[in-house]
Amino acid sequence: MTEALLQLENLHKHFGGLAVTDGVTLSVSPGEVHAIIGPNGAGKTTLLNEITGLLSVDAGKILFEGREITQMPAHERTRAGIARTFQITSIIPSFTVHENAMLAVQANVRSTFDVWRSAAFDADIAATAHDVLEQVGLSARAHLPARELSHGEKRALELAVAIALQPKLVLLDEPAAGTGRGETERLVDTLTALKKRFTIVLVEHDMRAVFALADRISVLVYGRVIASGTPNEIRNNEAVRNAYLGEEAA
Amino acid sequence: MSTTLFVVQLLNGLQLGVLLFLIAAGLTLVFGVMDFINLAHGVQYMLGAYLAVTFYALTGNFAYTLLLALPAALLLGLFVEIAIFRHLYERDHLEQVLATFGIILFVNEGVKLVWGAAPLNIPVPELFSGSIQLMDGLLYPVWRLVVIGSGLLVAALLYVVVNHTRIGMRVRAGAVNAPMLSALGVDVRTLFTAVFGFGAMLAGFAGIMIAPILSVEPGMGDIVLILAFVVIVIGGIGSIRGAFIGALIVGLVDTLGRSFATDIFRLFLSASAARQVGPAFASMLIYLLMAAILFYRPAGLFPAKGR
Amino acid sequence: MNWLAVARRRQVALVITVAIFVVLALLPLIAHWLPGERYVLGLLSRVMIFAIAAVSLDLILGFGGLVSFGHAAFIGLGAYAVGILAAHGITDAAIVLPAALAVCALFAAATGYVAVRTRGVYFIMITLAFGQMAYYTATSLAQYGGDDGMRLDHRSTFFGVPLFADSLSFYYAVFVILLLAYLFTRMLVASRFGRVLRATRENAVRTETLGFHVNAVRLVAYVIAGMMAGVAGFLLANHILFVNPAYMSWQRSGELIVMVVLGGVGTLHGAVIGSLAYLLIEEALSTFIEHWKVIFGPLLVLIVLFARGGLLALLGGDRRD
Repeated sequence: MTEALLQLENLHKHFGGLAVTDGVTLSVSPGEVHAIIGPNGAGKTTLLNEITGLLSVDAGKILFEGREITQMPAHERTRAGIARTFQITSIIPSFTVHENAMLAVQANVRSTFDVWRSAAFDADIAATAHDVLEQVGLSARAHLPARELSHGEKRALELAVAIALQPKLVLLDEPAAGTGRGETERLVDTLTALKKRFTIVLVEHDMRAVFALADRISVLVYGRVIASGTPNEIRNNEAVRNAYLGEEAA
Repeated sequence: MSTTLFVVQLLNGLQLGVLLFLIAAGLTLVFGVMDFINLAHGVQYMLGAYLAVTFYALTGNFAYTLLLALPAALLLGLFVEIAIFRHLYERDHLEQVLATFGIILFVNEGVKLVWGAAPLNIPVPELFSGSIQLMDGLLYPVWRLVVIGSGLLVAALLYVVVNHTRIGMRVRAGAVNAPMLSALGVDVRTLFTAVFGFGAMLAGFAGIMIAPILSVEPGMGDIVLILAFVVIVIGGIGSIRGAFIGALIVGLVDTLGRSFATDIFRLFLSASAARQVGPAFASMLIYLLMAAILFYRPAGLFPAKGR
Repeated sequence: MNWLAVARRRQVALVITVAIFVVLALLPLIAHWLPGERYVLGLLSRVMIFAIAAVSLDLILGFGGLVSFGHAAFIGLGAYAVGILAAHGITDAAIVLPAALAVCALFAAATGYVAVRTRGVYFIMITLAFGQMAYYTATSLAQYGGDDGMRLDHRSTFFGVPLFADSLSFYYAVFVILLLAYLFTRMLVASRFGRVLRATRENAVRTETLGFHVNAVRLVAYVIAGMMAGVAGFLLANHILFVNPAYMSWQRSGELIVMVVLGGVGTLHGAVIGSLAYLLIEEALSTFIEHWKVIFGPLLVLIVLFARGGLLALLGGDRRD
């Protein structure tokens, strides 16, 4: 039996009197696409923030590759191999598309305090960054300031940046949010190709994308996992139907 | 260290506290609601004091002085907001710093032109002059008690207005999320002007009340401005309650610190060393306090936008 | 924004920068023919000294997004290193300069460690607090002049050589140091480190989740900036032969911010232009008008209202977006 890549054990978090994470236990196996779905306000983004270290948990354990990372600072978790995209596009607006990618590549080669090497003429990093942009189809837009990209292109850049980190686990926070039908389909294609390279945790509302991509699905309601299993199991689960799927056409 | 001295300094600290509250209240609201760093708030306080000097020279009566200077301070605040500041709300904090810094230079120099550079004063009103015996061997100036009293009264009034009126509700909402308020149809422009003017008037009121006790001179607003910023950072930006508690803390710590630091140091240092270290430490005390509070509560004690 | 406009802006900025340094380099030759040569050299020396401090502030403010309202403390620390050591008979720069750098580095590391954990106006206030603490400490040093400060007999020597003694050689020493400081900071912001620093200004969360330790990056920049301003302080003490707590006041820190913003934040040459403009206008106005601040104040307000991006934008040069 393969050991889980990511293991969440009984996570708890309160904001005042509100339990945003209420005893979440979850495991993600290496190589799978694990989708987390649930109604708005269920605490999905909060959970991602807890996994990446942007939010601390009040109780419980987070294990990555068998190692406990519950107290580890955010940047170290990234270095350990966890990358994420954000629900609201989070890039460096004044950098060009290419520079955004270069920043990620630079992070990957662990080069923070190099004060000598020029950023502009950074041959090794530049080439790798170009490759990554090609993978998400942004090569043509490489020299534009990132803030001038369309919404869909920004989402693609988010993805490129995550990929550039060569992570073991990628957390995607609603990558299809705000994208139209065509772009969503392209996104699904891109992610299907990426499936082979990384383990993916996908938080998403778009059910078509979820059922097209997911190997396993966990359903989060009011900070608690009410069901976890294969897409078919979830589709037929009574509790899930009542709580959530009833409103959405599977 | 006698009890009498302690009580006197306690009262002095309270007086400084309410003074800082009057100034910090406007500052924290303007910062919280309009996200505007107003370095020029200190000159508002100074202008209140100078207006008091002029109106007293004209009328010879403190009551009339107050009645005339207060609206004058309000008008000045409104004028500055409409002419200059409202164009800066959308700007970078840095540009606001630059512009309000320019205002400080202008006004600090301007008052020298109008009133001269020499320190001025007005006498304490007849009715409240002299001292009152609070307890055995303790005589305390009546006017200082009046200042404390009026400050607490204003605080109480503000509490009622902010927490129990509709305009207060709008101000509180604005401090949390101004764009949302605008989207809900509230006339934020007028609200902003009103908030600013009111804050300016409070600062001016502080200046008027302090004129009989402190010398009125150019630059008197500068150190008060810094203290007011310390107050709102400790108290939490956008919060009147924070400004009140922060002001009392700063007023008491600063006053008591200055009075007793040297004595406390003498407990474990030589007399001459204590005389050196004491005052320096006392001056630093509120900054150390602020740094300590920010370390555990990076957004102050009661920030309006939550932690 | 199209390529042509960007390229043109960069060109103008480069031309302006080169022009300034050329003028500064040639100035002594021009001044030689003017009455009051020493006055001109002295004035521009002081301007260049503050330009060094302004450039260091632009590093953390313009590129790192750290608005420090206590940066003048480092100027003061550098100056006091000169003064205190001189009071004990040590006046050779070989000892004094490293001492000044060490003190500034320590102070920056200690205060920066706490400060970089805060954001926005809280960072402004906590740096102000630390600046005030340095100020009050200096005023309490009775044996080194306390409130009044102390005078120095002569300028620092270099391994025994009185390099600074002559106003001309002092001027060129300051010029070289400014040029080096400017070029060093340029290299810094153009480096990989600079890229990360610039990213932290715009999106600290993203930078952190890429795997960069944002607070460590900020701290390193803060220490470098502090040390550079300390060099300015070392030069200032040598220039005026006087050391005073007022060098560290919050008003001085405010003036530094004004210089940086006036010239154009986040450009480096803006810092040089800003200090030039601020101090020269101050000098010019104050010579002719007693109450020059009455004019200077509104001038600053007008520049903010109508010249976004500072003077550099007015001149058509590059400005950070």
